[in-house]
Amino acid sequence: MSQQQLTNVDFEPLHIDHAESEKIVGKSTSYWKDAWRRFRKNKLALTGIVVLLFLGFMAAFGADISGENFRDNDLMSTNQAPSSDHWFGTDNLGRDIFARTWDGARISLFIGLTAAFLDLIIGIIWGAISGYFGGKVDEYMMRIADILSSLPYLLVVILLMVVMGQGIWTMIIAMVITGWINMARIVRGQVMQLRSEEYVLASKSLGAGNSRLLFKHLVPNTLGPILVTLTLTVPNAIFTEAFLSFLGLGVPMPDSSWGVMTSEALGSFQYFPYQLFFPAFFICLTMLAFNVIGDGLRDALDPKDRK
Amino acid sequence: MAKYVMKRIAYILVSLLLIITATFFLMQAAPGSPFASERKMTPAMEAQMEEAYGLNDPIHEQYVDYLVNAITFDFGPSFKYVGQDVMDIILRSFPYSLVIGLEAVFIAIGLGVLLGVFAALKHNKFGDYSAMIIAVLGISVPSFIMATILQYILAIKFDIFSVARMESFADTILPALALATTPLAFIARLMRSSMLDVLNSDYIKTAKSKGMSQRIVTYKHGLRNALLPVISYMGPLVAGILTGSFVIEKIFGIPGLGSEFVTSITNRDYTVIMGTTVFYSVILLFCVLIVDLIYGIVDPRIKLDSKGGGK
Amino acid sequence: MKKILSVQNLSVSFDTYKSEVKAVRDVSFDLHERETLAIVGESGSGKSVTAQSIMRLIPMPPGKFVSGNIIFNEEDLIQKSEKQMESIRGKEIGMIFQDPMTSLNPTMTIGKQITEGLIKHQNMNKKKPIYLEWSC
Repeated sequence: MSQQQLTNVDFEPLHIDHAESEKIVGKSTSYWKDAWRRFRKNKLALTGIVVLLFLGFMAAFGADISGENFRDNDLMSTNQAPSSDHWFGTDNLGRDIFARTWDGARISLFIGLTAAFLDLIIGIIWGAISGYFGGKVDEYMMRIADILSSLPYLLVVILLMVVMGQGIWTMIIAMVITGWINMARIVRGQVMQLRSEEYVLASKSLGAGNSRLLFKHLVPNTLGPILVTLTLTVPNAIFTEAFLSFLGLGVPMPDSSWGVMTSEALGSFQYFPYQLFFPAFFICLTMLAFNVIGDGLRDALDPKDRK
Repeated sequence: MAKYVMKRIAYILVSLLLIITATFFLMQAAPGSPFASERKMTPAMEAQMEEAYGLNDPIHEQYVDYLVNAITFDFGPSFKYVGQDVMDIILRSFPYSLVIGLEAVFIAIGLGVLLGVFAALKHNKFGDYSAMIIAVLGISVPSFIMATILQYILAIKFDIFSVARMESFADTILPALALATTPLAFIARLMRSSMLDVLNSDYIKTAKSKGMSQRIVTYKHGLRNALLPVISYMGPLVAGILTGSFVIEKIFGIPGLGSEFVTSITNRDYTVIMGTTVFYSVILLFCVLIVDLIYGIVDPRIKLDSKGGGK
Repeated sequence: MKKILSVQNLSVSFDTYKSEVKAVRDVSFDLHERETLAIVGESGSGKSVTAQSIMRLIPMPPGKFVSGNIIFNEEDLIQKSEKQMESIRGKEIGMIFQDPMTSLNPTMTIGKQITEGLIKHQNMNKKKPIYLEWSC
């Protein structure tokens, strides 16, 4: 066996040109800049935002554009197909579907956004307390959340609606009573992580103050998942509203919502499919828009999945 | 293992106790007497009815009675349908829901996994994008709209299936398909991201470095690990199919438990509402237990006997 | 001494959205029979990429060979097809990864993972048990 003689010279470090070795990496970017770059590339998510802006605009002004009142029933012109008079046609009471659709949009979007917002508030408070105190407090708070979440969400909402009676606010409350759990779990997980993760310890040992920890570590780590959950809560709430209205437990008369309209149109959809088409289409479109935005945000905000 | 199962069953019983208690008191608080809508009922008759159903007993006695009876799956008589016990209604209607529910579970898992794996293997290519667009559409179209679309196209326009009949196996396909749409799309997305994660993991590289072929690496090493998140999604899946059945059965006119439940809500038939809720909870909690046990078998990292149990 | 492996002017890069990351630049070394070669360096200096390039385990894209040859038993591994590489990996060249927690399949027994390679390359019988012996 041939053995080379190793001398001290062999263990001398090679010469490294530091200026040269720095060239292999690109420019460093901040987390938010990077996230924005990735989100911008996602055409689907951008389309989702445009669609949402359009829906928001129409919810605000759409009912006025047609010059029809959503409550006016004109029994002389019931069940009319879409025409220049009634752009989306009329329903069985002669109400203009175009006007009703945008009035319904107002209620559907209001319910979706309010439910998501209340989820956020309760979730953050519950999760932060649970995660911050830890120990017994955490255990009891999370056990309560576990039991609530072990039941199907819709079943709980339906039972609550039966007890509380119909109405927009009772519907929102029923949704929020079980809906906050997801958010609370995410916030708690992040707070717990912040208490124990090594990168926080490392940052502290480098002399980072509380504000730096908060803004450089807690906020970027927590905001991403919260934002994504929030965007995905809205379509879920809109779906729940439609589902409940469909079962006859939703928005009471004379208000309309997409769910109510779908439900009303179902009985005669073989003869007047357009009555079902418009509300159903806008339910799907809204859910789709929120879903693709949520997906886009998740892909953009999760630095682990960088491309 | 046995110890773990016992412990979990104890937890389930505690949860059930809470659920029964909660539904009982919720229904007590609900407005409207079940007999209020009945016309031509004299106060004397109403009092007699209430006496017969034990509604005049003190509330704690009613509660204890209900609890004791619920243990033997006796939820009392229906308020609306004279002479029918709640359990009779459940046992009569549940088989329909079970068949459609099981079909939907198989469709959702089978097609969902297939679509997800396909998308992951074609990562960032046309196939991936199309599969994921199908999935996001599936999530965005609520099941009751899907049901109507399917019914309109396949049953009315093309007359392939019957509109609302429950006689043969073919009649169960449309409702099962409508019920499966959303979970199918969820599973496809879950499967795709988990498959991508797994295919990027170190042990896939190890398997490749041993000279294993692409096929073996993907299916023998990858698929099994990638399936784990799908297994843990089974709980929500069962819950979703359960609640989805409320509208689907209404649309397709299926005399299943879901439509019985909806009818009982409209009728304010409280004993049926309570009984059905408890029955659903039992099914769901045991499904979750079974899923956890399966998970423990498939993933050897999880020791079922250890503290805290499954993941 | 017979030359088994010869890496000549190997450069491997990764395409990212920002720029091309040159992970390995112009590396050359020879390995002879009965010789042991240890590559030592800072983290991020390209040891793993070099080793995995020899096994052709770098995912391409985003990775790519920019230049160089990897001559193993007088054949250039860079030119080999994926199918041909399968009969080299685990038979002619073996690799031991660092972290057992992530480098081993969590849902497969260690025994199975070790024998799997042997069954494929040594024509061992699946049905006949393989006895693994070790001392520790």
